[in-house]
Amino acid sequence: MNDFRARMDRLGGTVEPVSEEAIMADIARGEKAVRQRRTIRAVTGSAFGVAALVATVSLTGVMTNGGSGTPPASAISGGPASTASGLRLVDYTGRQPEGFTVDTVPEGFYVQGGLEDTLTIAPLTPRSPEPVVDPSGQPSGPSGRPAQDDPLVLEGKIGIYLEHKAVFGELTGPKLKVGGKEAVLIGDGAAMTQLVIVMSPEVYAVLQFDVPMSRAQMIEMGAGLHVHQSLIDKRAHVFDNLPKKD
Amino acid sequence: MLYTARLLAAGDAFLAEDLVQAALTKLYISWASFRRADNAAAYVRRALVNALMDERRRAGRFGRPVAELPERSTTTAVINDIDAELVAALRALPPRMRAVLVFRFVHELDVAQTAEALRCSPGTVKSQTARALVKLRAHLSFPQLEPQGAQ
Repeated sequence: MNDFRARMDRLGGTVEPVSEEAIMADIARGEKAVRQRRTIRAVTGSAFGVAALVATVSLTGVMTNGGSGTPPASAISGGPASTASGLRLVDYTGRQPEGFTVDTVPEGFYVQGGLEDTLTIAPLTPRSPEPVVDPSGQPSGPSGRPAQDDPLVLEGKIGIYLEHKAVFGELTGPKLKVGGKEAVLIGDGAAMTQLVIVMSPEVYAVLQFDVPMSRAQMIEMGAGLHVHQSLIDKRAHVFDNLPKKD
Repeated sequence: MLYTARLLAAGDAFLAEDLVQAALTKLYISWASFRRADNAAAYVRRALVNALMDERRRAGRFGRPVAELPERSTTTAVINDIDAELVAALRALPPRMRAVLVFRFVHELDVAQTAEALRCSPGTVKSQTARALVKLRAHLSFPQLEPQGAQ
């Protein structure tokens, strides 16, 4: 290696190996930050504004093509409905997301998309053909799309994600049964509420509601969420393949 | 990634960490695309270079306005054991030219591989390489240099 390459190599320096404990701590810290970020976004969102919007839009539960902009497939309204604060649940008959099966969604909501083992259910918002405000001022989400279209933004929506028990911690609070599984409800429904369902000894499914739904509706929706075993297994083993110390 | 980022950042360790973080964030958001990519290594290199270009655009020619005086980064000046001459030479290069040098002379990519990493034509890689070497020779003293896999 000539002198220039040697000098460049020295400038690049060495990358010190990281311990397994540090990696696990980083992952836990990152997932906690994601959870907190979702919480902050949900709490500061306008859940009641969403309710007013949904009440004026008489659509059934539909799904778009992962938020790609293609027209949503129509779904059939009907099925069991629960009455509460302006929203009712309808059978979801659109295309199912990968890794999940969703039985019910609030009327006027659709499966917006997600990443890996996450899912976002969002209200369909009517698009004005002539926006009265400069759309460039519209807040955008982390993927660059408008927040209302960004599945990474959970404000005013329902977020569903798998979490490893090591990251989320032990479940505390009154236990209930959701779809035959142990679960807890965190929050009083006035603001953001989380329904945490035990999917396996290591994995929870978290349904985070930033929409005005009753406790019964949240439980019904949780019972109608089915997570494919492959996703649960993958989340359960998320810490398995960390590099070992030399 | 960190090693490459340090070179792209011309020895600025703090900037290198920012570049890696930005690149990893982009990879996470575009995970589906990354998984479909034919050449994962090229995808990652491109993400790093794009992060560097974004950083340069944000910083602007006169630097970013800040509310408080920033903590002095020791890598913006000479720090112990850093090759100050090399750092100055690299910082005299535009980011893309710097990236060409790193990929061709450190990672020993050939012209085609470097062009793929930088999403430019092989001709551009060759001309950027030649111009980078001319600029380097103005700052450094080293013998005639040929990249590995020179075509």
